[in-house]
Amino acid sequence: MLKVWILFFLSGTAVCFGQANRATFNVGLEYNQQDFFLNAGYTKQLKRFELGAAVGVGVNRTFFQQRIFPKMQLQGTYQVVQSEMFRIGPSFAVHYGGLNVNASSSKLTYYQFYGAGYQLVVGKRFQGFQSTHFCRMTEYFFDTFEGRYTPASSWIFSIQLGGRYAF
Amino acid sequence: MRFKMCFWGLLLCVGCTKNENFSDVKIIGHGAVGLHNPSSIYHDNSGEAIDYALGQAGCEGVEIDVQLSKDGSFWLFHDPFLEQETNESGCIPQLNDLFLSHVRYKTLKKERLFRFAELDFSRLKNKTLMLDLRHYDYCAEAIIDVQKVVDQLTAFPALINGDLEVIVLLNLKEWYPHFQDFPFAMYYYTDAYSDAVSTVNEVPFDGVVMRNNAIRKEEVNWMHSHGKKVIIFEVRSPKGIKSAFKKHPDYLVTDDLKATIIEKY
Repeated sequence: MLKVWILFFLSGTAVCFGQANRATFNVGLEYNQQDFFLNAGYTKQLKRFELGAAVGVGVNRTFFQQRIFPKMQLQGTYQVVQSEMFRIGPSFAVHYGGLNVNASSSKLTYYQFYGAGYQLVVGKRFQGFQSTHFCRMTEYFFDTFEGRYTPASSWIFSIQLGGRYAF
Repeated sequence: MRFKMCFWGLLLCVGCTKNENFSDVKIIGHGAVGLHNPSSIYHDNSGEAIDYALGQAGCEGVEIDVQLSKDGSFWLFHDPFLEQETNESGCIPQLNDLFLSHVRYKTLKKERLFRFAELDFSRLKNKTLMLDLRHYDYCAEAIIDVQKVVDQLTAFPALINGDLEVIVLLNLKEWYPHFQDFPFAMYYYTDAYSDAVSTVNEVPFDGVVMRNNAIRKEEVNWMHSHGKKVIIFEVRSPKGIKSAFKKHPDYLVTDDLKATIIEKY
């Protein structure tokens, strides 16, 4: 499952880099049900469609509990309103993360989000952005009683705020 | 250069924290997965929450809130009034089993109100089951008939045959004599340490249950030196969890199961 997601992530990134259009580097703070995430990523503009990829870490787990909580995400936005200073449109996002809850066990807990929402971007070279997605989150945890990975799903909000530099 | 210094400084902060050993503290899920926990997938005291918590490596038991229905059955629910968390209103002691079987939580998942008889005791093997026995009917403003509670407990052989560790939490010390013949450990719940000390001197409870901010490390040590165990609850943030672990209680009843497991292991 992880391999499939890594391939998906890399293919998305490859699409981004393969086009000769405006690109941005971005950093943002995201809140979702699992943690606050510090994300860094890259986006590429293809006419009205923008595709981005990012990696991040959970702030509470990584910095306050010394347990690294990495996440990667792929996001696509169709900019319905596209002016020089202001862009907004519907957006989709997929996230994939993993956390070693119990360090004495080799079984990680995996998280997978699929969501739809919107993204708003303001600015020219230095830009601010805000996105909100309503996501289906599935947690795959190793059930010690059943002796196998078990999914547990929930609906969550993912809210992100950050800055971007266009080049 | 400045970036490199910041990077290595951050790495040092993350990587060089010495972990204290908390292997003497058992982790118990409050209402199974924590009360009012926004990161929780399931509602507290639901059947799904219990299965989820007991499947987590590092969770050593669950605490559940037990209320007696009008028909004399145990149902799991934390609050006094159903309208606080469900699609119905009223108090469990005033309602019959048929009505309660249709009650659902006000969550997106709409979990059913869970009947104690549906509990899969096989999942509790080698784990701890804490029963918070609710003694008060807030609609009738009266204390529940203790004999009905005793009768219902004896209806579950899994509770009384000694196969699993059962702890009963009471905050009505007058109920103690009714349960003393059961093979349960009995703990007294109070908000005041002075009340805890006077009660354990007067009634032979096995220990006390206290909020994290109501008991200090020296007071936990005093309880241990007098042969009493300590359960600490109401911990949620990483800071609160750390402070509770450092007091070395016997059990930590947590509102954030994963954060607590991370802190211990």
